[in-house]
Amino acid sequence: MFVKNANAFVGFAVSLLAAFSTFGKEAFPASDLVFFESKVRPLLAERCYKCHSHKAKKLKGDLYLDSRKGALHGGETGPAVKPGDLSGSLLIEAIRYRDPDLQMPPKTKLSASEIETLERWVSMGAPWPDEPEPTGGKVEKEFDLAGRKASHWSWKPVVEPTLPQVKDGTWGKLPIDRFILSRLEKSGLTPAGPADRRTLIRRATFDLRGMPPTPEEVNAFAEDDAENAFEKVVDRLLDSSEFGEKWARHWMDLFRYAESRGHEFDANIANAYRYRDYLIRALNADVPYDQFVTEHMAGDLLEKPRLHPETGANESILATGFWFLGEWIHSPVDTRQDEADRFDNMIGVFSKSFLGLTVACARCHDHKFDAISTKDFYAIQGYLQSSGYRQVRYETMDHNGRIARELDQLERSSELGKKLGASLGIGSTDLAKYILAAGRILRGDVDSEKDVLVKSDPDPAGPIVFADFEDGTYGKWLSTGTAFGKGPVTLETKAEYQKDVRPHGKFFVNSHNVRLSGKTPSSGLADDQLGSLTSPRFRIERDFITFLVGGGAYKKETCVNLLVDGKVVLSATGRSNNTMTETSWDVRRWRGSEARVQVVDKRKGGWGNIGLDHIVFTNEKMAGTTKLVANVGFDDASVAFVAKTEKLNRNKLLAWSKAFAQAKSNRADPLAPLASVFANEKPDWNPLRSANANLESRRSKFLESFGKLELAVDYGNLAHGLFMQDGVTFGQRAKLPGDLLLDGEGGLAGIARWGMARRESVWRGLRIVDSAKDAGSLGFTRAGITLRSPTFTNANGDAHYLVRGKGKAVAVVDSHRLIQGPLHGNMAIDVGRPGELTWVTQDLDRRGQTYLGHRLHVEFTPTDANDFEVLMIDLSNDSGARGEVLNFLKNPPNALVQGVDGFGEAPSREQLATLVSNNLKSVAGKLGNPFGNKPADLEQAYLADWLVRNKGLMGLDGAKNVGDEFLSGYKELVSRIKRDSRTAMAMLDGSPDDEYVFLRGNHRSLGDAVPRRFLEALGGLERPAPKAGSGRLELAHQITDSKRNPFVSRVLVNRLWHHLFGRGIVPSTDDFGVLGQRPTHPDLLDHLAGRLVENKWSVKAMIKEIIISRTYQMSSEAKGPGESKDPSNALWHRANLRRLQSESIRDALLFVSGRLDNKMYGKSVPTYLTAFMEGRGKPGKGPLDGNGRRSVYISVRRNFLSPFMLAFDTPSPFNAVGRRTNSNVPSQALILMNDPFVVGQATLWGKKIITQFSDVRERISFLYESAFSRPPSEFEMDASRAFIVEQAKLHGVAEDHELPWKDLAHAIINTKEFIFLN
Amino acid sequence: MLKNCGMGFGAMAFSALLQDKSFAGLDSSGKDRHSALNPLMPRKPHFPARAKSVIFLYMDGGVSHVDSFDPKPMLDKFHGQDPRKLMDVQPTQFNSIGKILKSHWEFKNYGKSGLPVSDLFPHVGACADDICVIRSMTSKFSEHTNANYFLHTGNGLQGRPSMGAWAGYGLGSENQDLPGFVVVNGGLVPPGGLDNFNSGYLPAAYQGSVFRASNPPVSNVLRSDPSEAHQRAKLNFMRKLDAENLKRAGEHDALESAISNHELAYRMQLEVPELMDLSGEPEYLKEAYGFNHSWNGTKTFARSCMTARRLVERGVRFIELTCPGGSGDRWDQHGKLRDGHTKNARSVDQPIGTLLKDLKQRGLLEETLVVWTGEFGRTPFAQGGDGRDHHPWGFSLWMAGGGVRGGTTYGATDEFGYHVVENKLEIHDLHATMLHLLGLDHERSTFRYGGRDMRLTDVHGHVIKDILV
Repeated sequence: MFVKNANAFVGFAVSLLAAFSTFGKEAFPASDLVFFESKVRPLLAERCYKCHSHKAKKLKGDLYLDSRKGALHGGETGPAVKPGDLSGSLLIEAIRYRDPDLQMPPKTKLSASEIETLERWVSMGAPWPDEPEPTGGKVEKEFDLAGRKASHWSWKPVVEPTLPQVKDGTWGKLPIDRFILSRLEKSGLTPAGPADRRTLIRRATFDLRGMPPTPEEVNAFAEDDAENAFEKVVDRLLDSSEFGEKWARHWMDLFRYAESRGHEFDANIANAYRYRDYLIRALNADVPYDQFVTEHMAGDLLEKPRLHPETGANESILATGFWFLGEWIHSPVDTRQDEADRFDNMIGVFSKSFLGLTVACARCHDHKFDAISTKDFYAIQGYLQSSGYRQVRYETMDHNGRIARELDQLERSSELGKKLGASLGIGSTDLAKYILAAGRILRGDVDSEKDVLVKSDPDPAGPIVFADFEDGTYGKWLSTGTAFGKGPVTLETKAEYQKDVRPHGKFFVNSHNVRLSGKTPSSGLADDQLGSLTSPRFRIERDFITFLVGGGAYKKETCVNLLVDGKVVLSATGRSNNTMTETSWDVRRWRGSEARVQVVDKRKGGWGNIGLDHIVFTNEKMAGTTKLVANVGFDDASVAFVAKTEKLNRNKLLAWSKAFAQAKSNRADPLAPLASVFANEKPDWNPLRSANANLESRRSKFLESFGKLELAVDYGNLAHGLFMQDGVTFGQRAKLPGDLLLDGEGGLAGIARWGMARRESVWRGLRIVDSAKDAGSLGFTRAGITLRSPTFTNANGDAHYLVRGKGKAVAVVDSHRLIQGPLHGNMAIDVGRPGELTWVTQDLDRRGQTYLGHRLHVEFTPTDANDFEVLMIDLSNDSGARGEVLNFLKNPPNALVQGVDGFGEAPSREQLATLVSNNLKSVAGKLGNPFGNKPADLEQAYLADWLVRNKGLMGLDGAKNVGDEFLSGYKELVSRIKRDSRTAMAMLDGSPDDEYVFLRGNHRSLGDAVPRRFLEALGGLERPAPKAGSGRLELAHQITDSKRNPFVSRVLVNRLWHHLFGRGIVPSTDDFGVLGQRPTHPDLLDHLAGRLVENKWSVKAMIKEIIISRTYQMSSEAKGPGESKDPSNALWHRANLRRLQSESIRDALLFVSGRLDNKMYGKSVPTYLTAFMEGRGKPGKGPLDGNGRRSVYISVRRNFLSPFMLAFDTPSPFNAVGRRTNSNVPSQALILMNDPFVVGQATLWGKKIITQFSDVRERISFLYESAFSRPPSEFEMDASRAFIVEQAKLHGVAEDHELPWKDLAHAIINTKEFIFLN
Repeated sequence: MLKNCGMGFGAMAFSALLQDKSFAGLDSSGKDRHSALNPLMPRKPHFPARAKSVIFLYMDGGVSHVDSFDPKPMLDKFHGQDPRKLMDVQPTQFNSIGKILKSHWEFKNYGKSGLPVSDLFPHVGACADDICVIRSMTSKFSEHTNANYFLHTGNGLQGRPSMGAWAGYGLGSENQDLPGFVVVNGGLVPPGGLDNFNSGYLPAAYQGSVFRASNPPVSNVLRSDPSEAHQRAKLNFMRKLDAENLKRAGEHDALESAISNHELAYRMQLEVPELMDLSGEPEYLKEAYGFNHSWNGTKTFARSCMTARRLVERGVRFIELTCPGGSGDRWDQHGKLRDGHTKNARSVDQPIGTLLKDLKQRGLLEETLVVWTGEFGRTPFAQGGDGRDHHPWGFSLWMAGGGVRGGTTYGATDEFGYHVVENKLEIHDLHATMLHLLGLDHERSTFRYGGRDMRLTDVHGHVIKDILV
């Protein structure tokens, strides 16, 4: 806060690299050299030189111990020997075997005497004779990035190739076909003939929809003579919603999609399926692929995100959820290691998926083969270090974000502060008079008469406020018993569970006197208090008595009574509801009588309480409570009298009079010293003299203490771009001293007394619907209402937060968030109390789980509806300084009476009144501009806040008159806030944070920091990340810049080819590096990559272009001479025969059996668990048939994956898999033969057949057409009929019975044609 | 998660895509050591193997080394004292570090070798001359799940192939009707789940099949048809249709091998129940294993151990046994050490002792490597009154048979059993040694994945030559 630099950017602190001391030729005593030669050198030679000398086969840790220079210079982790310094010498540390991570020799500890020898040697100053440096040793070749880039095909730009000449010009019209044909012709091969139409539509439908075509679709295509018949089919399939369901799975493979975290307890990943649904929608909407990539990299940062056309939900941000689909660990002992492993996985997935590069291989050393350096890896890791996780309110974020900005704009353009200041300024004329007059009233220096009010009442028919209790006392009311306590209560002091009492003004009567019981409210004692409260006598001068009443509904027991002549003539009760409602008594028949109002609580137990407020006498029934505030009650007779006689405004004088009354009993009130002077005939000067007696020393003490703090974060003085939050509830920027604070209705809540991040009241009550919360300690409502501090280093072991209000703080250390289990429980803590400014300490050095030196940020979330403010995070050990700062902020020197010293010993009351009036005027004049951060500014801010809360003193009234124009605009905006939203995983930008190179991948051994940037070989050095934010959006632009980066387009078209042909042009779809495979048709690959960009990155257009080629439409028959010349079909002389993917097999089963439920989206159906699926974190058992939903909607829990899916090669979700294995294991056959799901679908299918058709041949035909998209051959027809007869016999049933038909269906499922694509 | 269950049955399996280059990385000579046609076809080792099979006795939760195979008289001497005053104490998993805690159990010297074994393991002690105790094992992780993945896959995170899968990948299987890697689940699935037995990036044919010690041991191995005749008729019909399809489609290897796959699955339906049927085993032997023991854990583990022997007899390459439950939270005695370790030992000691003798008597021990270990050891000082915390910086395991020198110890911890001070080993060394005994050079046993030639031992590991015969 205020004046100090935040040290948010202090680097990762500790580095073992101490200053390198120079050493020249040193002369050692001969005896020391003898000791070295006889004891030390032999020992080093025997136990160290195998790994640490120039003769070592493989030098370890870059450390030479065969020369003094080597020992002093040290290796990767720093100098091994510091002469004379035992504790500073890593060599000694290592041989002592204390640190399990630093033990040498690695296998067996030296003997005690050997250790002693080396210790002695170091203590001596490490004597070593002057001898030539040893030579030899292996020198590692320098990493030649440029050379590698130049020598490997995939780094070269995409160049549109020239179309090759072909002999057969009729075969295919598309360039694709020319490229394929030319290679075939060169090898003396001819392409296979076209697949027949039924085969073709089955192939295309499975490829695009993931399910077989219906027999009707097959027949329609088979009979369509139009030239573009196939194109029509392809268009129809690409337009179907099932397209997205089929193709989403390919990216789910890449992004290791799962809905649980794996590891020990398989914790839930909250709302992971929303990412799956995003994929389906994005693919169906044909989002251009460059946009698709950008959304994954930085969908949260787009200026214009893609919105859902119907709901307005933010689509783009959902893409960033893919980063967080990986394995997460609870209770890692080493959180930094855990983070490194998570980042490694994220970088691996990202780079393989989008770039086809194995960037993660460069984690420990420069890539062994590709043009990727270790620096590249950590340059990318910096982006992750600068980005965090959240559950985002994606449905409402854009809508509410706009409202938040408009609210801010409205507030600023309305210049509320200036207007307020001006109004207050106008109110400050004559102020001295009011002060003097109020002083008179306070000390009773008024010769008032009993009925003066009635006489002076300007409106004999107007309403009269009889009692509103706003001076915080019962005044002349008489209280008996305990229920009503010592005085009226406020919303802050009432029991919290009484919730929405809705009083008028601040104070109200409530017999639920919890303070008295001293017990927890749940004990019921509060309700058990009994008592009564009786008003002073008054004359009934109006037709109605209107008041607010709430509480118990017991007649005669919890009630408000009207007493006339001591008898109850009217009575009202609450409605067993603490919310007070307006009630009116018609009292015309008692006009002129004297009466009292009595509040009674005679009831114990539930609803044994009564509430009362705002009693008004009117001539209208239900006068409405708000417009009555301006009137004066009986108690204020003196005020009315003085106002009249002195020609002062009665309301304003009343305000001053009440303020003085309150100040008398409250020493913290700025008015208190003044009251002491004015209250008595003989003034008490002491409070005034002591008010600012030590002003300068208090100020300097504050500054000194503040200077002692080590502020990691100071919301009073925050660097640009570091005000970060999930959502908008903390406003658009931090509040500074003097800023206006609004309440939830747009009214004035006060003035900021300090710099802070403050939850804006208008955003209270945001709800989360239909969404899971995060696992572990983060499972509370935090989406959209969380403040994220900048990242900082844990310098001293604990962090101290200065907060006001109740909430939670989560310390996110090394981005570890699965806070569950024994180790890191204290990372999520409760902070603060309602309304109270307080320091809260978070222990970051506990139970040996020290996070000292680790990087972290803190996330603050309010947990109730009260104010919530965060001021600063301190890392110092100076609790005294913290106490001073807190004390000053809570109770600064009194600016109201500053300057009083100028008057000497005893100023006159007039002088004082003028001084105070000037001070108030001055503070009012400052509103609308920032106050600054100096102590005097804080004092003035405190006074301004007091003034605004007591603005009646300046003649301003009502809570909401900060500007009528503003208020109507404000209300309109607020009415449009959407308070309910679903949530999903997404990124949240953090503070910019570059990463250090981890030497050999070891996070304990740090090299230089690397600025965030893209790969050097792709121009990363030229375009480093911007200063503010993570820079992911700029990174995304570089990645998708097809002119500079040839990988994204090539890798995508290759994936499409792979999925449509069963093998990519580059078969290793995820590795375009040296260890990957070469493209079989490099020109074709570049042609397609070029076409993709030409077609504005349309994935559907690319798929269509490939699929309508002759190449795709070839037959898969393996019969010609091509089988010997091109046995692996590398040249595509025919189509490949392909086994269906697991999802398609299961979906086809549901499709043919009629069980398929084509409902889209939503929560996954739990996986069916077999008796053999055991382990921790076992989920609930799902239905055997997954409720008939497509496989993409079946739950993916890491430790409980579907056996069916796994058997048919759905990958385990751990890393990017662009190319599935294609195994053939007996479990597949066992499943198809015996699994109850398969048998069940066969049964359904059999039943369906016999119900739909009566003729045996028709039944068999339909089975074939559904399963294989073709009618049976005569042989198959005969064999099938014979099988039905045979099975019926075996079962002992009629041929019409469902059993043989189930068997036939089951047999067809088990034939290979069912699971293969021709 | 049961890719493991009922799957991974090896044999005759084929994959067109296995022809892909990545599969050929095993031999540095460049020769493709794998038959593309059958991933479980037996393959020649790199050099003559000492062991044909491995039985891996996994002691889930971490056995206390100072209470079992690494006696420390100093613990008696300093019992009840604050360890911080005696040594530098590192934070532990739960980090409630109590006083030095002496062992509850006496150590006796067994056999000709005089190997000291505590009273927890009298039956194993009786085989002392056949076992080699390693007292200098370390792990990198003090948390169960990481440590389990590390022990099983050489990496602390999920997703890598298990050691059994590597063995199958390197050597194939001697039995074409059974999986090459079988986990006999005694009841406790280790933290980290069945992924400890997965094939990771290796082909699915190598993944561990988790058998329960019951019949049927896995899902879908019982025929769904009401009778043999029904099923046979169905298979005959299918064969006709498949043959017809082959005629149409041409000669696709994938189709042909998928067809033979069905035949194999059919045979397996017969083979597996036969394997699990222990009724033909002699009563005296069942008694010796502990079939009739009054303690349920012993009964369960007795079946597991006998099944392990039958698997060895049938040529299964790698067999892992997990512990039975019901004895506290696995071996993980953060409290109630005396009770928990006693019960756990009661469950496994007699069956293991008998297994060693049974193997030896049949001449199988020579060619079977038996490994007994937890994922880490336990602290020499107390957690609470009578518990020990996780301890990865020095613990004991033992090996027997298959080329290991019996009646010996190797390595040492310090006088409190806290840190290794002699011949420090890590899990990679254990893996290197296991592969070595199976005839495989761990540095040449690689699989290309994600741009690297991956190994079970990553870039680490040395064969522990000193303990070999």
